[in-house]
Amino acid sequence: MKRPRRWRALLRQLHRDLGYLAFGLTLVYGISGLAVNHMADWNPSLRFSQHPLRFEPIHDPDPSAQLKSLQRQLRLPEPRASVQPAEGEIQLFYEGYSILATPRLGEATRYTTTPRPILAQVNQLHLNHPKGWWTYAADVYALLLLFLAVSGLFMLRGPKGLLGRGKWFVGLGLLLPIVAWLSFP
Amino acid sequence: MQALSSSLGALLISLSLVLSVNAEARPQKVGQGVSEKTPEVKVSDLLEKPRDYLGKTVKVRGVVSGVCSHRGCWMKIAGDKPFQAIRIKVKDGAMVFPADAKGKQAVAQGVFQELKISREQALRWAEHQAKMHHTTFDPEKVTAKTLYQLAGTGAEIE
Repeated sequence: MKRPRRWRALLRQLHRDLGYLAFGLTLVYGISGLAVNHMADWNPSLRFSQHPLRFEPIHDPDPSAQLKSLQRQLRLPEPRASVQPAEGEIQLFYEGYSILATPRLGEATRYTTTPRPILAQVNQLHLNHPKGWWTYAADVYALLLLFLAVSGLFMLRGPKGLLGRGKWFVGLGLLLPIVAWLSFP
Repeated sequence: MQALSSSLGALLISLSLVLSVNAEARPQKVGQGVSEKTPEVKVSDLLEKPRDYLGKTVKVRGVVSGVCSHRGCWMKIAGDKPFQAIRIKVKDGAMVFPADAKGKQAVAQGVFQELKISREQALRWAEHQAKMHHTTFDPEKVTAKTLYQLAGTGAEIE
């Protein structure tokens, strides 16, 4: 007498529970994947803006006097650092923004960098900026995805299983990267 | 059950403290970082005597005055003298200079390179810069030029 095939039921249970486990990380990698895929068109983690500022022209050529006057007129705190990028210009750096000023013209621009909510956080994890233990967490997730992909093939038998219509879908999924490799050598 | 959740809470707090202390103590390493063996050269020396350093691996130190806002593929370090800076360029995606590095002290390492910019290339660049900074673009003032940069291999940002 043939033994009942219990392994398929066990596989389905594992696929289900590991699928639950992978839910959160799949959201992180899925959302971030969409964002970073279009990196050529935008910065997926940061938003940049610039805002013109006017002040009373400063004619004193001394950079430290210019700095003090700028701080007083534009009500700026002590900068993290300041440099003279070009003749007649002074650049002040703060957390999240910088000011590029032309003292003798009384003109400046404030450049602000703001993290995009949610996207900045998910991209940080997707691109493995934290490194350290996160590298191994991401490795485990990758192995989990491989398991889900392979176990998914054998969950069902019959006309809806791999040997039924499943083979066409699997074939299509394999064909797509092959066509891409051939199209973009 | 209560004891278990208290222990778990204490463990998470300890872990976050350890991680935050570690994060604050170390400079941020980008790419391969920098090597102690690599000679450190002043930006002014590189720009004033470029022939002495072409093709050599060097380290520069200074305030980060600019970072590529698109992909973090370059970073500019201000020189030890006014109006000077050097760009550290990497291939897109090879490493990412963080946008929040602006205004921080950094040490960057790379191979010193010379770039010959034709007048046509300089015109395109000047036009792009004028658009970015909302300044006047005067083609008459644009000429062919030679630029110097480091082909970056790594950096440490404080």
